[in-house]
Amino acid sequence: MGLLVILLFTLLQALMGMGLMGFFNIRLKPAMHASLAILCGVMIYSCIPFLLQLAFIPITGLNVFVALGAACLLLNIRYRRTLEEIKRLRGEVDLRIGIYELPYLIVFVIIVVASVWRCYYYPPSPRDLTSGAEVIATYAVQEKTMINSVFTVNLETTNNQYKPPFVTSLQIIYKYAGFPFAQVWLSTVFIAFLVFLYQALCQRVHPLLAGLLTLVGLAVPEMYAYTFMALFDYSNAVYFFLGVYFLIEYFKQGRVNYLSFAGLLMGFATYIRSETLILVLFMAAPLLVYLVKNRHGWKDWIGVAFRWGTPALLFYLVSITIYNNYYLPAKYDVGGLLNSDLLNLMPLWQRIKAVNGELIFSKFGIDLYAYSFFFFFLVLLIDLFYNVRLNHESRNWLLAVIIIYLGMPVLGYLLPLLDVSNSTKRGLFKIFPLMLLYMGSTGWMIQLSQKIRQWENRASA
Amino acid sequence: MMKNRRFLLTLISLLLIAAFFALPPNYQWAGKVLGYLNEIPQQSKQPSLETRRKKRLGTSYTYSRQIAAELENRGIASQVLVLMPATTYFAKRGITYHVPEPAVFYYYTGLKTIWPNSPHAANAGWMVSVRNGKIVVDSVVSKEQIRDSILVFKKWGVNL
Repeated sequence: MGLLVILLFTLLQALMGMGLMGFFNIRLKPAMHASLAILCGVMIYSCIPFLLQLAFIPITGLNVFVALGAACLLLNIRYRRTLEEIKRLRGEVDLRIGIYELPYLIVFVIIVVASVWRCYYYPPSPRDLTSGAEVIATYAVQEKTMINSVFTVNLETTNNQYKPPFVTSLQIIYKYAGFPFAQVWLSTVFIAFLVFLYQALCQRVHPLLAGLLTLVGLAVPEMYAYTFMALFDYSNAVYFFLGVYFLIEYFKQGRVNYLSFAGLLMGFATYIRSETLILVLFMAAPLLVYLVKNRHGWKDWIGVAFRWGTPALLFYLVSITIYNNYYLPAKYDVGGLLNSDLLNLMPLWQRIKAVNGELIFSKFGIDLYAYSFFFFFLVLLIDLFYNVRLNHESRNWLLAVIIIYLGMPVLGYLLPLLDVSNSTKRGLFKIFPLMLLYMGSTGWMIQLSQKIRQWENRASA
Repeated sequence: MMKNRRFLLTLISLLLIAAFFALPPNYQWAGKVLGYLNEIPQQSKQPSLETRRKKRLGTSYTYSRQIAAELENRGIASQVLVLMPATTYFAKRGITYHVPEPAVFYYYTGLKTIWPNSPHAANAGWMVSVRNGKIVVDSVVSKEQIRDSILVFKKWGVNL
């Protein structure tokens, strides 16, 4: 029964996502399109109970499922477009896989099965979840509101109840669907993201290398652990990566629909972790460079800023400013969390040192992230030897990596509550998919892939 | 010829995977993942939610449930506020109990608790302590008693 519900949910999420992507005219190859649609669907799911709460509608099972159905219908109001898209995907789908992909796929399946089972079998355990989203969701199901008896408990030792309701909403839906521990939505995010990542890499390099790169990304021990322990950071990394992916597609193709979609995905990432808003601001740096280089007029500048920044700002305003200040019974002073001594740059330097010394270049760092950083440095070194100017796409991905690498310490400097051993440790998850796409778009890897392909197909020539 | 080359590529991918997992941190991680897989047959025989909670959340959950059960049996669990000493208090008395903070305690049990360092701690009508090596739940009989208990418990701080 549980499996059937998951399948139905996945189908509904795919339909919702396709409807949403249709509005932005996003068309990708089938596996990427389907996986992205599912990820968008999960995000739409996570907005539904929150919207019901904002409208003071009781969060009953019936209301939630009717709202999900209505959202799906609304997003597919131009149903002919969705049907045409499904037809296109069916026509283009190619299920053939190379025999040399099989070893990788078998390893991926083993890793995924272990994660999915644990996600399903065990209850949520991280303190950040059980003292916030999970306890609120549990009592929301009993009391039909997200503003429930949890707020009558002594909450002096936690601020987790003030985090955006992304996880709370998903937990509510899946609890209503018959999963007492709920968190299986995380497996949907994990699998859909894995498919998208592998396919994105296969678009750039030979599957032999794409498989290896995907494995490097999968085998980041700390990040893998959060594929079965529901929390904010894994999902945040996924949607942040997708936002960067479409931003770079915009740089490549100059199509504004990609930029708008990238902005929306960054809005989703901000909805999961509100401080992502600052990283969205940092990510505007490559956009500025792009606008200056391409000599765009001031009208374009305004348009680009609007498309890139508005969704993240809106998600922040609604889920933090409005919800926390006008809905929740206790007030939370976000301004009070900001570093009040910004002119003193010593804490920033200490943060940078701590991130490098504790999380990257240390035994502890290897325990957390294995050799992923060192693998990246090796690829970067070879790339610099190969062509010191790098190619366009890899330069963009590298810039995104640098923004996270420097952005995480800056976040810690701006918001001292974000500690190195927890918040920054998990915040760094965002860097790994970016590193993988950088590695997959380096000139030498692409040329090596071409050589492998030529060698592989030489007999048929 | 092409088939042979693809076969060779398959061997290369196997070699790459083997080399990848030969690296010590990857090898250790793979051992963990395989351990998770090996646990599945056993775990699938224990489908009860309570078993799964106990296994995952450990004594933090089981002791919290025991405390709540005591008040549930008296039919007052939903109306009371319970003063909880910190983890170190229990450790010093030979009990391994990571005391969950009030929000998590409420999630585990539906019981409202409070730390001794809270300004509202004196509102507690019940308190938990250790007597003869056992965790006991007592009602607060006087203002003096709760004030003294708070002072004693405060020494142990709070461990999140």
